[in-house]
Amino acid sequence: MKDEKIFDILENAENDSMDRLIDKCPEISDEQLDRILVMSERKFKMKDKETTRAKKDNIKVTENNVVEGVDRVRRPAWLRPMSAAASLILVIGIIAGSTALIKKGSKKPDSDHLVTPAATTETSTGTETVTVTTGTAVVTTQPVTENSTDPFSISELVGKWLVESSKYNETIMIESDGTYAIHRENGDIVRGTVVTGTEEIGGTVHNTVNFYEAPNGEFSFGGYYDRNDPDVITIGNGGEEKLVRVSNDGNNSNTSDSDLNKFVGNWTYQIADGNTTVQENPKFAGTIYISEDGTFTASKIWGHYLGGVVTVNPSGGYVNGQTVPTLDFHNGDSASDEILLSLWYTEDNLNTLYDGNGGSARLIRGFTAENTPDVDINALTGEWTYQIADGNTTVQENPKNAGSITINEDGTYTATKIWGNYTGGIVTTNPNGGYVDGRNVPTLDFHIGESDDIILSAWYTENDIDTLYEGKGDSVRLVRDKANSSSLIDEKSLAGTWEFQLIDNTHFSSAPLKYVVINGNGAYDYTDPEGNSGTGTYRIDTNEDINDQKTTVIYFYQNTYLAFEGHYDNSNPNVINIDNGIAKLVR
Amino acid sequence: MTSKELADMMQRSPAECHKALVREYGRYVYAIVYNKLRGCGTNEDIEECVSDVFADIFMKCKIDISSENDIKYLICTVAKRRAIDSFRSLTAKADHIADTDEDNMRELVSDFSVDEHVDRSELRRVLLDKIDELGEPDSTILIQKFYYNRNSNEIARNVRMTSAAVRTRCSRAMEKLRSMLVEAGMTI
Repeated sequence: MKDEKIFDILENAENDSMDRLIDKCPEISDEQLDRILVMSERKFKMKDKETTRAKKDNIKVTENNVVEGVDRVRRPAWLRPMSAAASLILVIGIIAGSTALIKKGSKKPDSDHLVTPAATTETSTGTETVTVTTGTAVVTTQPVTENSTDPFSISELVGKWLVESSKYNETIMIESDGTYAIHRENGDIVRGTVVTGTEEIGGTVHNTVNFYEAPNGEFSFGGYYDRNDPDVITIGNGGEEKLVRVSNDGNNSNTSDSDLNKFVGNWTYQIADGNTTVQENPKFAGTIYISEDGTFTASKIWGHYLGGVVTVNPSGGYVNGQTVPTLDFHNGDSASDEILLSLWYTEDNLNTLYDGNGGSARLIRGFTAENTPDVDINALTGEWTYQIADGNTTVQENPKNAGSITINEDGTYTATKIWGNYTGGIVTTNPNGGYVDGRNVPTLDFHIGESDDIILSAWYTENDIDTLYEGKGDSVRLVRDKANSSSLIDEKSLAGTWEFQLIDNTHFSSAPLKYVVINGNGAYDYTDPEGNSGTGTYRIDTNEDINDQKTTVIYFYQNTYLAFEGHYDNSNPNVINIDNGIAKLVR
Repeated sequence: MTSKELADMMQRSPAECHKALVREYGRYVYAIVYNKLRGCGTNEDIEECVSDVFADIFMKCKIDISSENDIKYLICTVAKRRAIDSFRSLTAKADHIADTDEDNMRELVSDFSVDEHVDRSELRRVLLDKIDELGEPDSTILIQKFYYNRNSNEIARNVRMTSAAVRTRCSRAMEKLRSMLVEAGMTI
């Protein structure tokens, strides 16, 4: 049995065994605890909101509620004669109207004066239909009633509506795709679908508008829409509450790529540290990169790397009594997927986006000092060659060696031939120092001695830590001298098929694997001696201190298991020694 | 931390109370959740579940925590329950529904075996006893290496040794454990 298989027995332990395992649990790092705290707070707030809302929506009179006392009502004395007079006027009106209609219907048309029309066009304006007859024409205008032949559809309702109510101060955005979003005063957004239909009451057909809340599709509220009054939806039967149209524009028509382009680049997510505001005590909580193609990738915010699409909602937020645009981050590739984060902003400041009331969390453009990129100064130590463009070309086409720089682990550098008298100083990293291709990139800054003056600020990307560039990147660069640098390897240099060879059978009675195919992108495939195959991931640590020597260790994982670990040496690039020499992988 | 202290802290500052809870019981909850999800979830799944547990605890704190006699017991119960839920959702298979007739139904029996459960429980105790007999730091190194799947570097930081020393001790301790288990009659 493999060593770790013995320990599988410990899973699903009962209480006494569990206590013993808890004692030996490794310490959880502060970073991991912070991540858990952020996730927990987020989930707690969502639950709390749901509970509060559920309570608000479910106030019911139960049998324990007792109503007592007498409510005395005095009717005004003038009401009775007034009602009698109104009834009389109504009766007279009906009689007079009926008589007039009968007389009108009995009159025969004068056929001598009718002219055959030359052409007929129909124009529909949504509220009325005008039939225009040309030639020696007779013009008739006929108001459209609810029985119009045009079916009632959602397109008539698209736009922004204001809720006219004594209780709420909300706006509703109805989209052409049949969705709606209610923007509440406290910043909450409730989404759902709108369904149009008709209902016959007393022989008259009424257009109905029903709102169903996402994601359960529960009926939320409904109202009636009269085409003769196209900017009003009356809610319920009483008509006390109504929606009044503010504009005819849906979000979809307003959202354009240019809106999103304003946000392309790296962003840092910050939350308030402790019981303060994010402005007073910002705390790093993750990063987001917004790409030009309208997608984003986030790290740490939701505990793990996550990506999806990002959309701009021109009226997604409601802050200080005003509708503000929001940037919505979706959990998936479609704009209809769940919104993980909806951050509002104002057009006058496109470098900061806010969550909720703006005090608890924010997204700021670029990296911050706390957000050191994955590549740090230790990964940049070693010998570098300073190259400039030879002649009127680029440094990529015709590189010319112009000196060399040695970057030391203690954060200093020494330069030869490049800047005359200046031969060395301190070197620092600036995670947000450069701006290339629309995104912030980290820079390595070479100082004059120990002063703040920087003689060279060279930028690099996390994907290529072997080349540093100055300016646009076509005139000056620093190229790592790999022969003299420490045993740095990248994932690609390990790519290939490796055979698993057992050397010492103390730990394994037979080789657990036959072949390992390293893909060069952090994943590997393996085949065991029985021919079964599987996949795993690997991680390279180039800086592990073993017997006071920097060693490259490769950790191979299968699911959460650390399956085995190997040592790699540049001088023997086709062998990975497994677990202190008990086995090896041979390329 | 007592429930009274927690309730007082909650009144003063809910955010501080949440932070204190995670700091105090984070490792405890992690260990419980890890025990249930070790075989089926990724590290992210485990962290997700731990945060679910704390979100539940925060809700409980908001309502009333002062009546709880033992806050640790409450946290343990919530953690176990949540971890089992996560386990079920992570291991849920698509084929929940299968056609069967009455005759087949009689043949269907529970896959839970009492004997196996008792055996496994006993094996677990024997294994933990033997690991404890190795003494410190070997017992911690073995558990962290093979049960918690930590690498030598991480273990070295926890037990304050160099990673090379951790590897050597781990290798020796595993050999020793192996022979102890054979003596105890456990087949390896």
